[in-house]
This record gives sequence, C-alpha cells and structure tokens, in this order.
Amino acid sequence: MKQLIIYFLRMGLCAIKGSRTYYVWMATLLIFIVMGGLEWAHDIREGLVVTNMSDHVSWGIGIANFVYFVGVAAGAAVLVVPAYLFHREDIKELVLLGEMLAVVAVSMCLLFIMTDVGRPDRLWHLTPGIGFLNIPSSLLSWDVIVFTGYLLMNLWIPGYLLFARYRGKKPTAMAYLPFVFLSMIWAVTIHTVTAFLLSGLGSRPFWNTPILAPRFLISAGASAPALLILLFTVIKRFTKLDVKQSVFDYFLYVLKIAMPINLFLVGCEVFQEFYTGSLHSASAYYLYFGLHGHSMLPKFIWTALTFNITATIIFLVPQLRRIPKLMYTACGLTVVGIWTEKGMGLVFPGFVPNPLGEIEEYAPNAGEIILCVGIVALGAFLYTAMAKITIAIQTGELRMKGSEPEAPAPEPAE
Amino acid sequence: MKKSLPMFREPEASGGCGGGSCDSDGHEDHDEGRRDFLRMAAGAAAVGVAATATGCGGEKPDYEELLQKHYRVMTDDEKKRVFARLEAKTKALTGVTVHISDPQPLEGVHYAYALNLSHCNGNRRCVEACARENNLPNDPEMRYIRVIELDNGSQHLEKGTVHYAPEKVPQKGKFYLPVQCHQCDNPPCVRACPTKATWKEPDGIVVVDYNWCIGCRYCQAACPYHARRFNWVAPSIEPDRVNPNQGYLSNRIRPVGVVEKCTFCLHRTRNGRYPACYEVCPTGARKFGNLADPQSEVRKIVENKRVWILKEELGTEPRFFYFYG
Amino acid sequence: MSAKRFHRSAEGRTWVGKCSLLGALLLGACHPHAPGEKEHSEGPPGPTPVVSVTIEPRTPMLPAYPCSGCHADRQPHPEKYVLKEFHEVRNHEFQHGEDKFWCYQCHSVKNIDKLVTATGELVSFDEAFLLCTGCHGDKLKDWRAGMHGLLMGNWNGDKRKKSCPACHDPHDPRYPSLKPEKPPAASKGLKAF
Repeated sequence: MKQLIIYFLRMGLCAIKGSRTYYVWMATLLIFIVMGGLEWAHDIREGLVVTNMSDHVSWGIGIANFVYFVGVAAGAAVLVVPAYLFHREDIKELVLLGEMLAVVAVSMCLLFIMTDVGRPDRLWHLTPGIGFLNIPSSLLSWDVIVFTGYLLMNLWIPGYLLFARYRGKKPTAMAYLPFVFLSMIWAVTIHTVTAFLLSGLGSRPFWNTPILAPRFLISAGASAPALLILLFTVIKRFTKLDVKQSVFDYFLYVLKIAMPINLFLVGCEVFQEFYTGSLHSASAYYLYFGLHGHSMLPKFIWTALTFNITATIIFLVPQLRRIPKLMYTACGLTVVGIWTEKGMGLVFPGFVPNPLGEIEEYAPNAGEIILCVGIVALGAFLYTAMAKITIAIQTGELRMKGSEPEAPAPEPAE
Repeated sequence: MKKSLPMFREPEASGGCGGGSCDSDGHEDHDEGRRDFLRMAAGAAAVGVAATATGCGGEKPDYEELLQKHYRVMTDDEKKRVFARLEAKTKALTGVTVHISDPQPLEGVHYAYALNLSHCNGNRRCVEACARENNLPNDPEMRYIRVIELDNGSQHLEKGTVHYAPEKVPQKGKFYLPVQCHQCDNPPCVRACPTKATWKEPDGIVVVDYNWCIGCRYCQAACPYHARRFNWVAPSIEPDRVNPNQGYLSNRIRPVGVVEKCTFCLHRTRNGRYPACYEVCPTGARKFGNLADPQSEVRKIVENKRVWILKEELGTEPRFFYFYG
Repeated sequence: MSAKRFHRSAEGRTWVGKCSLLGALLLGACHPHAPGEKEHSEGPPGPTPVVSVTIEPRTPMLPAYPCSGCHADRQPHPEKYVLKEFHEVRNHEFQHGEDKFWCYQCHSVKNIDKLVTATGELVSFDEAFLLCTGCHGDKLKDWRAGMHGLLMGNWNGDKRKKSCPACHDPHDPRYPSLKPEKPPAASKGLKAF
C-alpha cells in the first residue's frame, strides 16, 4: 500500500509545518513533555518512593487524572450521538475531531496508569495468552479490555474516514458505521467500568455507592461539552475550519441539562453521607470538613462546588450566558471544578481514613505534578497535531494527487 | 538471549497439566511455542523500558526475570532455576547465602488464627518478630502487623491509635487489637488483581507471586484490613538481619514495585512450625492451627469461645478470629 | 455454575448457554473464586496427627527448691504472722487473695516440698496448675485445650505448655506489664500545600 505510506508521510509533514504560533505552542508543550519524561525515568530508577503516595494513600494524582480523562474520552460521545443519531450536519463535520479527543484522552489515561504502576516492565502480564487477565473478577482487567477496544475503534473510524476523504473516495458505510454506533455504547462502558472498579470495593465506603457510576457519566457529560466549547473556539480562531454557532448552542444545551443534574447527584451523595452520619461517612467528613485536624481537602472541594454552581448559574441565565467572556469563564470553571470534584475530590478521600481508621493525608509533590502536566502536555501535543491534519484533510488542503478536486463530504448510507 | 530459554518446546508427553504446560485454568497448552515467542516480544518491549531507565543507572536488565512465567505455570525445573537465580541475586546484594524453598500446601489443612483480646497487651513483639522473620526493611519501615490501641467500650477504629508509646503496656482502660492479613476465604484482593498475581492457595493462605505482580496497587485499595504493603523503593536489609530460610511465596527479599503481605509464615507453617508472631508472643494471646482439625486450639476456640470477625459485614470471610478468653 | 455445564457439552453453543454465560459475566464479581483455587470446606478434615502435649516441669526453675533443704529442721508456723527473714520480701510483694491468704494457703504445712490444694490434696510444684485451678477453674479447661497460655512446638506435632506459675508468679499473679516495642514510623506527611 504505497499510497498509505505516502499518506502517513504527508500527514507527518503537515504536522511539522505550521505558523509561528503553532511552533511556539508545540515547543512549549515539548518542554513540559520532556520534563514529565525525565520525572518518569526518575520514578523508575528510584521507585515510587519519590512520590507522596504511601501504603495509606496508595493512589494519588495519577489515578485522579486517569479518572477525569476517562470522562473526557467518554465525552466524545457528546459529539458522536448528535452527528450520527440525530443527523446534525453541523456537528458531523466536527465529529472526527471529537474522536481524536477520545483517542488522545484514552492515550493519556493509559499513560497515567503506566507511569503509576510499580512495574511498567511487567505490563505485558496483562495480555491474555502470554499473561493472565483476571476476567471476569477484576474490574481493572475489564478496564484494560474496554480501553483497548475504545482506542482501536476511535483510531479506526477517523482513520478510515480521513483516508477516504484524502483519496476523494466515498467511504463504505459498513466499514465504519457499525463501529460508530458501537462507540456510542462503548463510551458509556469505559466510564462505567472505571466507576465500577472504584464502587465495587467494600473496603472503601466512600466509593462503595451505586451513585458513583451515574455521577461519573453526568460529570463527563458536563465537563466534555465545556472542554469542547473551549476547544472549538480555539479551532475556529486558529484554523480554516468553520465551526457554526449551532454547534456551540448544542453544547450549551447539553451543559444546561448535565450541570444541574451533576449538582443534584452531588447533593444526593452529600445528603446520604451527612444525614446517616454513620462511621462509613468518615471520608465524606474528611472531604468536606476535615477530620481530626486534618483538613487539606475541604478548601478544594468547596472551591470546586462554588465553581460548578457559578458555572451552572451562568449557563442557565440567558442574560449571563450571552456575554462571551462569562460563557468562556463558565466553561473554564466547569472543567476545573469537575476535575477537582472527580479527581482529587474522589480518589484522595477514598483513602482517608484508611480501613483501620488511621488518617494519613496526601497531596502531590512537585515531581508528581510535573509528570501529570507532562502527560497532559503530551495529550495536547498529539491532539494539536492530529487536529491540524484532520482539518487539513477535511478542508481539502491535504488531498491525494489525482483525486477529484472537489470531493463532497462523505454521505454515509443508512 | 540465553539459549536455555524454552523456545517452541514440545508439550509434555505425559499430557495433562503434570508437565506444567498448562495455563492457570488447567487447559493443556499446545501453543507453548507461540506463547514463548509472544512473551519474548513483549519482554523485548519490557527490556526496552527497563533498559532505558536502568541503563541510566548502570544496571544490566535481567532478561530471565523479565520473561519469567507465572508461578502456577512454571515447571519444577523452571522453578529451581528461578530460585537459584534469586539466591545468587540475594548473595550479590547482601553477601548472605540464603535458601529459597517452595513448600507445598499440606492436604486437609486450612489455617486459621485466633487472637485473645483479653490477653494481648500491645507489646508489639509480634510486629518486630515478623519483620525479622520476613526480611522486612527498616528504611523505609515496613511492618505487616499493626496493633491498634482502643478504648474499652468501643471498637471504633478511628478513635484508636497505632502510635501509642507508653512506658508500659497495657494501659489502663485500653485494649489492643493486632491486625494483619486475615487470609480471607472470599478475598477482595484476589478478585481485584488484574493479572492473577495473587491467589488463595488450597490451605487458605493468600499468596503473591512477587515476580508477576505489576504493582498497580488495586489490591491495596481493595483490602479492608490495610494488610498489604507496597515496595515503594527497593528494599534493603542489613546483612545481619537477613533471614536465610526463605520461601519463594513468602519471605524472600522482594523486588521494588510489588505488593506483599503476611503469609502466615508459610515457609514455617507448611513444615509444621508456628508463625514467627505466634512464637514470640509472650502472653499467649495468639493461637494458630488447622481449622479443619477438631483437636486444634483454633477449632476449639471457634467452637467454644465467643469469636468475632473484623468487618464481617463486608463478607470477606477472614480466617482470623478475635475473642475474649 | 450452570453456564459451565452448557459450555462444555456437545450441544455447547445453545442460546441458553450463551445467555447464562453472559449473565454470569455481567454479574461479574459476585462470588467468584480465583481460578484454580479450591472451595474452602470445613470437613472432612485431614488425618489428625498424633499430638502429644507435654507440660514443662516447674521445679528446675525454682532456685530454692527443695524447700526442705532449709525447712527440714524448722518448725512450721500455722498462724499468720509477718515474715522476718529470707522470705520477708514477700510481705511487700504478696498480692494474692486480698489479705486473706498467706503462705500456708498454698504451701503444705505437713510437707514443705509440696503444695496443698483446697481439698487438702498434696501436689508437687510441677503440678501447681491443679492448685491454681481449684479457684480459677474457668482457666483449667482453656489451659488444657491450649486456648490459654503459651503452647509451644509444632501446630501439627508435639507441643509443650507451661504450668501456671511460669507466667503468673503465685505471690503476685497479675501478668507483668511490658515495655512495648516502638510504634510504626511517622507518616510521610504532606510535603505540598
């Protein structure tokens, strides 16, 4: 497939060439990526003792980020569903960018896991056949399966469609449509399995609640559109791709539903923990009020709640959301608020107090933060490059020699 | 690659799982050769990771260790080679000649522990004896057993403390609750492990294959008794503290990045001896034996004393019974 | 599990089998055991090993035994009085029986090398447990069964136990308090924020 190789080479060239802003952006990201990489090498050499994790809080900022970015990956469904289920043409142009986001988010999640395990050289033990995968018991094994599936699906669909567009050929519906519909369900699955791996543990009463999976899905449904609004604003500003106002209206529509429901679910959880007030609520007390003098987390969760409530108000009140600055602020607040509430505000308090009632707090140290920033930077780097290529192909800039000059947008048969 | 590595080996002529050519579910494996090849390919990737990191530190990555199979599918010969390699490594690291054994579970035995809370006075001799027996490092400190000092009248663990340090124990108005791995019959840690690196042996002990564990620490999150420990750093034991009588699944010196826990000293108990914590306890608060044997003390305790189980509502079915005798 | 039965049978891939397998997979971790792990059962137990339990003799541990070495040519003093020589330390240390007891409660008047039970039976120092459990009967059954006190040896082999005075000084039987070993290392603590 000589054409395929040329295609990849041309994609690479497209990613390398760009405007000055592009270079500055990518160079900055590269710095963070390299710093993160060096920190990971340091982790492997010295052992994870260089982090602030301990036998009491054995999962830290890495897993917190993992949990959040799984939501972002699942949030790609926010684009896929209207594009293919409701046949919204304005969104269909952007759906590939959404799937790219899913790929990048899943890759980031896998990196967060890889940099967090004690023996990354043994990750091959997870491969069924040469290793052992603990199915059906271990939810982490299921997570490996669903992640791999989602990653492959979201690599295939845009890959196939872009290659078809590049060649000016009409894509065959059967080659990608079944995967599209599968990915809608699969997006829910990956986030639910991640929720289950936490909520299945009886040893952690803070997580051992049925509301965890719905909370995950709703908060993903809230933070993904906010992130996408910001993302597409940037894309509209810096690229040739035209993002219609109707797309932003659609995202706002999702936010107007998801944000209040998210607050409601938080309220449900808070009520049950504090009204019952059993010993199982110790972690909730630690999160919201501090416990026995240990109170690192309450300021974070209250800030997150304030952010979420403020953002919800801005989204719901027409006079407020019409002001672009307020709108973007609200989106930013949503992303930060939900990251805090779902990442730090979920993973850290699960370990405090520990099962024997001891309290040992955790906060990431500089090295861990550098590693996480590095991985997020890598995600941003990959996404920028992939988006650039996608937009180039979609707008017709990147086109195979000899194909029709004006290939129409692929019209998938039903 | 060393030429002693098995490549495209013929399945054992005896058939069945006797030759060890089966996966953990007991199915005969005719794809041994393909698996070996795939394992080596994956191992090459692992070597890449290891070489990148350790290359900076100057260590040579151990290819045999990177490609080592799961304990449950290794043949006896492979195990012997692994033990020899580990003994050599320990000798190189500490200068101590150790012997790594692999005692098999005894038939008809189901270990249980009973702890008499009326007699435990919180002296923590068990904690230190366990550390010496099991080659637990001091820096950073790792201890399998945690003794909680609680006020009389309540088992509210949050109100207790492990950091008590009075001149004398027992303190007035307090009682002491030692906690270690309960070797549960329905272990949440075994369910959680994504690679089946930890499992429950037929005699009840929940063990970890330290050379298979990937260090994800999900089992640590799943354990309701805070029983599991992770090697955040490569453990270093002073040569005079090394216990040379080691078991592959129990007290051999572990590598960095893996999880470990109390194994009821299986290198002792499978040879009829008591665990180290039992032997050192000065008050006789600890009782250990075979729950399946009606003559054993633990069986008599469970049948006659008012025993209770920590966090019984979680359904973990521990084999560690507390009682007031 | 019924799913396994369908899975392995010749008809194998019936839809019922598929559904129950799917159901089992969905139910997931309800009550699985790790593969290869045997179901725990309380019986039938393995062959009970022949276990002998020896009681360690006490007399070798007594520095002043035999007492008749000094007491052979001394008259017994049946009435209670304050000791003045050799054993006078017992005046201060004696914490047993709330002032109702004194030496001849347990030591035999007739034979100083023996102890006397509440029923007047003479027992040797090695059988002191017969004396102690005359009052502390609840402990006898537990001690005989190995539930009380130290039981040394092998859990599936021969065992040894000690008589009561080995741990409980009969003159001050309360088990001595001990200096505890050091507490666990301090926590990592917060290094940021």
